[in-house]
Amino acid sequence: MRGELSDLGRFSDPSLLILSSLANGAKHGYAMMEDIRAFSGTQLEPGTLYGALARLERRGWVEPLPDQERRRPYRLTALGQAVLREQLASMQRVLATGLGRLATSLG
Amino acid sequence: MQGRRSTYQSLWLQSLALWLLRLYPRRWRGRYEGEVQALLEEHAIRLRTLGDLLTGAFDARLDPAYAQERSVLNMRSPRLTTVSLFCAFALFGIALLPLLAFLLDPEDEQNVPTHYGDLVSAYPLVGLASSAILVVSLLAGVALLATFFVLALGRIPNLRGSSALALLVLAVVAALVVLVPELLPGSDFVRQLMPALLGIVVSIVGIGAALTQSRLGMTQWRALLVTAATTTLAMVLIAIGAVTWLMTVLLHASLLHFTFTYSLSLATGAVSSLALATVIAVLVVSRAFATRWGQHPLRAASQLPPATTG
Repeated sequence: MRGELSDLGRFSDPSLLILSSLANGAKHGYAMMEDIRAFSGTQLEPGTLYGALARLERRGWVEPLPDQERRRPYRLTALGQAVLREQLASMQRVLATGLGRLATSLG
Repeated sequence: MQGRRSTYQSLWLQSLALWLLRLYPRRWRGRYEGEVQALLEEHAIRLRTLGDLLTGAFDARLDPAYAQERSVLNMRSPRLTTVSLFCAFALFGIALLPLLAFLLDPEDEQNVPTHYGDLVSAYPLVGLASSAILVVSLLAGVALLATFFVLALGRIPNLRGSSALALLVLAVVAALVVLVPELLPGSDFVRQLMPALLGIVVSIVGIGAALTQSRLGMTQWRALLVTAATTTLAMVLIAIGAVTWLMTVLLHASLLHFTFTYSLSLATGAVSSLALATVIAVLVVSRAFATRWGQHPLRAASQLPPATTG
């Protein structure tokens, strides 16, 4: 059983942002924070970022690459891709349903 | 000038942020500290960053993956955990004795002034809060003792002997207080109050020692967790009240026409011990709930996930 993002408790939202950030390639911590701020407007702080990263790594959803001058990049694993795809599909269904119903009620 | 001050401020915040990393567990630091240090050197550090690092340290301390082999908070050693919890209860009880004597003994003029009556008249909410704390504390105490009585009378063979001894001590102290109070030192008020609390402390230590030798079932383990949590909640409320009182006295000593005395030093020590015991109890109980609510404490002791290594 590979588990779900919601199992991560208060780290589930930051984890979704981290997985989404790594979806287009490996990044180290600071690059992830900047990328997440750019695409979502959320400023993750280091304690939350590494709390979530440690949990994602333990679940095998991300994996570390060899470090480059103390900065260690992380990349998405195949399992992490599957979890992210499933989570985004679920969110997309909610989004489509909500928008559809709003359009119907307003129209 | 403002730019220089800003530079000093950011350097100071960065030093503090780097220092906060020391609060993380050793195994976490072995794996992530270098990366986070590199990140902090690039990141604009604000107060929010410091709060986040502090929360992260607390969170990592509660994470079973970073538990050390011999730690008070390590559920791989339920015996050590139980002893720690009961030592925290005992320390709290011992620290409460002199504090209550200072606060509540109306005969001793050397005591720290509380002005409790004036305070309640001015702020009725303080009276309500005090009553709530008292009720929760009493309920917690009754629940704690009742659970142990039930456990002691139950089918756990190892618990009977030690618990019976602890209860015997409690009964002897209670009898002493009722029958020959003049044998005990202090004023009448202290005579009535302190031995009873002392008896409870001795009992709690005795029962705790008995529990460490017992083969607990799931039901007993959960009962122990719930009562320990209720007692810890009462400890938190009392500790908050005690710290608030002490801060008020220290900050307004001149307004209260009060000079610093030996009593106040002792009260400060007692409040510090209360706070320390409460922190230990909160950490142990929260850890026990997080890791062992649904698992047998001894059977599952070797089933924790291995810690991440660097």
